[in-house]
Amino acid sequence: MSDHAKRSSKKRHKKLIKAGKSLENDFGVKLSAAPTKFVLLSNAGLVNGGLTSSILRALPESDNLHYDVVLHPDKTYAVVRCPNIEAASAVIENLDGSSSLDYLDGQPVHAGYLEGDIPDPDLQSSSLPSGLEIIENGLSPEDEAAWLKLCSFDDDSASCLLKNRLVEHFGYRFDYAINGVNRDDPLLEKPIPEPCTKFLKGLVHRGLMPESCFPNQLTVNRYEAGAGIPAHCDTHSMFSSCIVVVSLGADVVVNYRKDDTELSVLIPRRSVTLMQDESRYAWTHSIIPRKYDLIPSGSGAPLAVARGVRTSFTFRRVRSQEACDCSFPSLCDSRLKFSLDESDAAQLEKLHVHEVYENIASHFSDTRHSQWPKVVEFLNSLPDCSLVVDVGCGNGKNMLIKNREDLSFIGCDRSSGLLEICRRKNLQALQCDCLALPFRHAVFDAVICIAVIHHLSTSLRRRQAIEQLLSLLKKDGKLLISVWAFDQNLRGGSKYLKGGDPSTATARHACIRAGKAEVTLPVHTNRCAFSNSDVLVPWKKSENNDTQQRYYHVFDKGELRSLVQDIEGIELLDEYHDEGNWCIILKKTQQVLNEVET
Amino acid sequence: MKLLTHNMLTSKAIKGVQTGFPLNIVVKKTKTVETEFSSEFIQRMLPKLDWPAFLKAAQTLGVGSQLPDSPPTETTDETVLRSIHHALVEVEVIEGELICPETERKFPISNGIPNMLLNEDEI
Repeated sequence: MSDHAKRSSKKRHKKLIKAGKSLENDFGVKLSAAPTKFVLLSNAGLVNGGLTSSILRALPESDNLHYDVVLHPDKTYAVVRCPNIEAASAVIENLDGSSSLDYLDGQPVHAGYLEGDIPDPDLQSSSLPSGLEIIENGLSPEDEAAWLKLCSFDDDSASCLLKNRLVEHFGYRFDYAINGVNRDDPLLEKPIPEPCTKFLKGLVHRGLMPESCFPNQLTVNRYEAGAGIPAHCDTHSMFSSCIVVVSLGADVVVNYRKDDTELSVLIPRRSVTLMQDESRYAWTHSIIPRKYDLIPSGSGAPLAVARGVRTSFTFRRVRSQEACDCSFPSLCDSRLKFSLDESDAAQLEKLHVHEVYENIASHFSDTRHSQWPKVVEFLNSLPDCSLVVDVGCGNGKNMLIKNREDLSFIGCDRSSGLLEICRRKNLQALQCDCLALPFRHAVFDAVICIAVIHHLSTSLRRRQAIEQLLSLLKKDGKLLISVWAFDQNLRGGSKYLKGGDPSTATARHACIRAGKAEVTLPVHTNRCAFSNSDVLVPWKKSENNDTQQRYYHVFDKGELRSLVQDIEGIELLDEYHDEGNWCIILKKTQQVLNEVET
Repeated sequence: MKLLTHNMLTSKAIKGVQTGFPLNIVVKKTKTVETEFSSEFIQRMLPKLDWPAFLKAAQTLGVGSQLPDSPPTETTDETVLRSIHHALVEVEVIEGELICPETERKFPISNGIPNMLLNEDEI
């Protein structure tokens, strides 16, 4: 051990020891008595206002030596990676106990060797949320200067001081109480400025933004250095599917979040951000209030740089009607949040599924003749002499498959009226509930369940039903499930949609009883796009005007699969959209699944 | 309700019931509908059948006298397979009851349709 090392270890300041403990706790690296290339600086971290450039300035002058400064968020220490031990020794000689770091206001910094290196802080994610596009240098420096002069932030009526930011609105005044605008009160005297409109036309011209989303509202935010904005998603019902943000004055890191996934995205100065599809509808975005951002350095540790004053121009299209038809329900305010407890759910289904089918059985059957080709295809694919259960068999139309007289079907349904119709066709049919199936387990070659699960009113019940269906199958047995899809428009469209205006679909609501609860659900308009995951679908008999409301939960893309994703012993063979329905085919890969609790 | 169907039914959806199989049958009215015999079909169904349950049900319906005590092997002659065919898929219970072997819960059969619905408090 050199004299110098002995000296410095003897002289270790208590603040250095504290910083060393903290770093050891974070990264498992200890202070070292022997010299190394890695130097810990106490009291010099991002928490203290440390930045890469200010630390580099305080390091000893040298021509060809490269120092790498490692700064982690929320830490009071910094680590300097030195090119060699001599350089590290010089850093300690210069900085230990010195007050030369300008941001510390004369407070001393303490320096000591570390046993080894620590990792770099996590940087911006390499992946972007789906639908997010960032065009670097989307605006020239000249345009930037011109745009920054467009706002005065001095109009008290349209501008107000939010926390650490100034805002100004064009086209419509953004009302922070409703996170939207008053459609009836446009700012006629203050349209979107001409240079901006010209720029937006360019985006349309280049095919980056659909004409139908051409903005009519602009909010300009001027963020003080270090200011942030809480996580938010632009109100679905208020603004259309494309949002354009032009960032001026300074770089910033924006955090995008969806469920448990968080992506930090560097938004460079003079860039244009286009938020469409999932990034616009299903992700929130926020700016963390802090004085610095970590940005890539090209080589070595990310640079901690001070935030500057940033001005953002956010362009949005105000929808003419308050109805969002996106396929991302989690943040969609056009979708009603709907949840029932188990007993209320059973009551709702009794009144608005079972009794309705009982009442409409014969008329319903008259309208259900045609077999669905994909169902027939599934049944035709089954081995000779397969034993098949049709859960929710209705009038039995799927149990009479041409040229497959070898198949044995047992049909079951809740509706005795529909079962009577099955009997007239000499089909095997019995009455039961799909949540209490009266069949032996692990004996059937196939199970089909067409247009049934969407009548169950909680996610738990839908999942339990699928578990019961699976329990009937023997090993290698196959299950086909088909449910109504929220999105009626995939892959060339559905025969169901007849060009109805989706906005009229939200026009009517009905209040229905569900056990103790009273719930209000939108009443679906036939042949229109759905407005909500949980809806009432009217059934009107032609001879009188008695309308029956059937409850439906219409499925989002991937929802059926997500219900079964953690069930072991099954394999997903296929998942497809078929004429406005979501379908999955599952194969059982073991004889018995874990016993279902009911 | 054919005996093929009966052989697949249980009452174990009732709370507390262990196997609920086989369900006992009370016969009030039966019907026989001739269907095309296929020895391949019978051979394929045999592994799925619970033979003692089938035998007992067939005896209840009075069509079990020709059936062997244990499931036949592949070499069984056609006469036996035909009697299985008759009991399994030609005779139907039109009116009657199914009875849970553990709780005595009755499930009515009407117009050939067993009503296996349970009340909320039974599940």
